Amino acid sequence: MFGGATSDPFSLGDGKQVKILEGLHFFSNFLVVLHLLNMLIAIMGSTYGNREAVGAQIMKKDHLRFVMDNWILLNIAFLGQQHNLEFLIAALPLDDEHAEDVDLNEFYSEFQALVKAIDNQFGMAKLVQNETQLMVMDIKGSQRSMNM
Amino acid sequence: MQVFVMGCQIYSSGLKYFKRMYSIFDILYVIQIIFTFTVIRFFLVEEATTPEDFEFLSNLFRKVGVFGTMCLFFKATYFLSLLDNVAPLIDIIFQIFFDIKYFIAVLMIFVVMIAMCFQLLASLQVDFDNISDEDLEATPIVYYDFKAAIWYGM
Repeated sequence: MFGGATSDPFSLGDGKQVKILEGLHFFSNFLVVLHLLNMLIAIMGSTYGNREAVGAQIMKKDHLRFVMDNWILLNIAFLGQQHNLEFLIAALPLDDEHAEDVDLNEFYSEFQALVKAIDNQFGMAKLVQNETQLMVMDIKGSQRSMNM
Repeated sequence: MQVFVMGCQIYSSGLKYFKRMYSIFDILYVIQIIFTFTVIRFFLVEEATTPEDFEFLSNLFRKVGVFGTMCLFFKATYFLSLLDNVAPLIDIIFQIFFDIKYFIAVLMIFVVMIAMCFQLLASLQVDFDNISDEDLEATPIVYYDFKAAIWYGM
């Protein structure tokens, strides 16, 4: 038990409460230490497994969040050399909890608007990463299947 | 410099800035620095303070410093999450805290329940078990106090 909790005081004096105190002690040990602690470990293991499976996405999300947090430093980062850019990764924010409710049409139109905005800002037409193209293709495929 | 960067970030991201966990750490850290600087610069002058004031102010700003240090090192995890191998771990650590919030609520209910039971039985022992003062001094009934009884439930 935590905090150095001891059973020595249970039998002090006449010791009339020894049995019920020991029973309560056993019950609290069983409930908290054995049952709830294992349940806690199981919850943590479940979370670990779920998040580990999407580790690559988490990495990308963290990197993109860092970029967005420091967007104000854009000019300092590129020192006016935006035309030398080779790749530009773009992403739309998506709430993890509502990922199932995403409207693909709305998402695709937002994506097109983003591509236009990038084109306007950087003056490049083919500035889309391969993975993003694949994602767009998937979305188009999903749209077709939805329309059928 | 930190305040300037924070100002720029608030300007660019608006109220969303305050919804981020790491923004809270930034704000708390800046408050701690300003507080500590103010105390040292304007109040903690040896000639102007008594030893009691000196102890009180030192006590105060060092305890505030504890929170500032925690914020600073928590913010380090933000930068650590840029490392490919560390990013999922940092995410998992914070996600676990989020996921166990209901579990903690249930655990607290059980802990309080057990602590109250121990406290009630302790009062029975003290009142009716004829415990001598020497015995009580040698082996105190720690769970007679609710705060100590909490440890019996954990």
